[in-house]
Amino acid sequence: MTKQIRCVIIDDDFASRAILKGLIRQDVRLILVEESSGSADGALAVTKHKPDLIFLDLMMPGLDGYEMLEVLDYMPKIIVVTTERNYKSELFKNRISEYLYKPVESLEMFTKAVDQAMKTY
Amino acid sequence: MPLSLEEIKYQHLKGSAQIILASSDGKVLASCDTLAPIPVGYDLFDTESFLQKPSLRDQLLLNEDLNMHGVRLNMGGTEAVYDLQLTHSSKGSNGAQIILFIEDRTQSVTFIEDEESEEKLREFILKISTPLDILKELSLSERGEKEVSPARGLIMAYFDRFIHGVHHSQINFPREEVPFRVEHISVAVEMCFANMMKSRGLKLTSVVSFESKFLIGDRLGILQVVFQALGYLLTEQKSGHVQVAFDYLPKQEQLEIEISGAPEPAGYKVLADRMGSEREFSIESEATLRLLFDCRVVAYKTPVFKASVTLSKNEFPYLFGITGGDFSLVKDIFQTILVSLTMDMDDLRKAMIQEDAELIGRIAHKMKPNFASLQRQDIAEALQYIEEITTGEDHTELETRLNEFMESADEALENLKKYKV
Repeated sequence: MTKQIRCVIIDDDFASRAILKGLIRQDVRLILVEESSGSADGALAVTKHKPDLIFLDLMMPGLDGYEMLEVLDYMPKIIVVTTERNYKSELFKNRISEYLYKPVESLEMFTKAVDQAMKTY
Repeated sequence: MPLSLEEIKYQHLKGSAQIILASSDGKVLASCDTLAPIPVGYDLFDTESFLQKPSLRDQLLLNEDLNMHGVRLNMGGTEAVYDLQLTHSSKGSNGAQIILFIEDRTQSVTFIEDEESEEKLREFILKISTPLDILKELSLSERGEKEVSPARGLIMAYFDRFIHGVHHSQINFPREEVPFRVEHISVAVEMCFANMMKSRGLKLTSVVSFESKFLIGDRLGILQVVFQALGYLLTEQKSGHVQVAFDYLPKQEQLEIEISGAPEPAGYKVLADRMGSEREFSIESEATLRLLFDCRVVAYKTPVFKASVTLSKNEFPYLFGITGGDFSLVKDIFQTILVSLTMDMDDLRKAMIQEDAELIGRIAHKMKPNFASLQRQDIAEALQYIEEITTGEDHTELETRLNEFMESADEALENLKKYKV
């Protein structure tokens, strides 16, 4: 039996979270363990659940996604979900597994990003 | 034609309330004279008007900041004798009118401040299943502030009801038949819960989708049920948004309130069980609670449009694509995006008033993908342009671009609201 991929969504926009939840529901491998509307709550959720995968928005009020990455000592696979087209972080290139651009183009694109992020899982 | 006196008096009009209708220049057109005789033609704005007399002000403990858009006497609540509201009604077939609503509050009781009474209040609140923090919010949040509104008057009346219950150990209040404006309930709900929702990472919107002069029914009973339902959701719902939508069913003579959120599984069923069977309500889906209240309406106007168009794959290929065609999921996401965009538009308007370019840029950034998700790439591109302006040095084009955007976005949102979700 395939082990399920436990994931957390961290995004301040509830519409974006709704779309991600919809996409996660389509992928039988994924199970959502918590969603957070801010990076502080998100950091707590990651520490508490130790998920396999995070869907992370970088631009959030307060502690942004970058700062959150800096405080985490537990580091699951990370898929950055951002509005910036073609954005790639040089600074965190070793910690970010994949990128999705809002609005996530298609279910296939989402699945591909998860595949890519989890290929070493 | 103005409303007839019979319409205003209505057979169930509460004995302690008086409604006066006046033309926009303050001339009285009709009065139901429950409290005092006010003849037709009486000039409310005259310097000799009862509204202006110092002796009356003293007698009624009238506040000095009387204005034409909403007046409440002695907002502290401890000594209020009359609750008085003035409202301009510019909509409807009768042209501009002023509705003056006076309610005798001599039966209202004072706020309790001693420990023993506080404890009694706590016990009482537990019995009626309304969370204590909501009551605290109601009782404390608005006290001492100068700004007045009819919605706040409603909240104070609600709180008075609770205090009255404490003093008389009365839990089930007799049903009232009083005139009220549903818009005030809608605003009161937002006033009470907005901060609490925010602190829990939730968002709340409240909308009224019909027009009327006023309704006649148990306004505080309605408010209480809505408060109970939202109070429960505050505790049980972990994320997302909650929408409270008010509509009127003219044939059934009922006010319909739909509460939509994302509760825990079976959340609304648990809520319905807790609320008992005294009210007529039903659970439309696992994410919608529908409440019905008997109410009569004066000067009801059919909504300009009624959501009637079904979401289709042709029009919203993106949503159907990412959900694998799961229609219930499409509807959920569509509604969530629509609520999010509506709130973002409000935030953007505020940021424009404050001329805060950085905030405008952040909101534009956030809205961009949501419009794109609803196949409005043109608007998403306009937002992209606005965002680029805000991050640059030259802001000269910003105002023009924003105004153009607001016009097209408002039109787009109105159009999107016609879809049935």
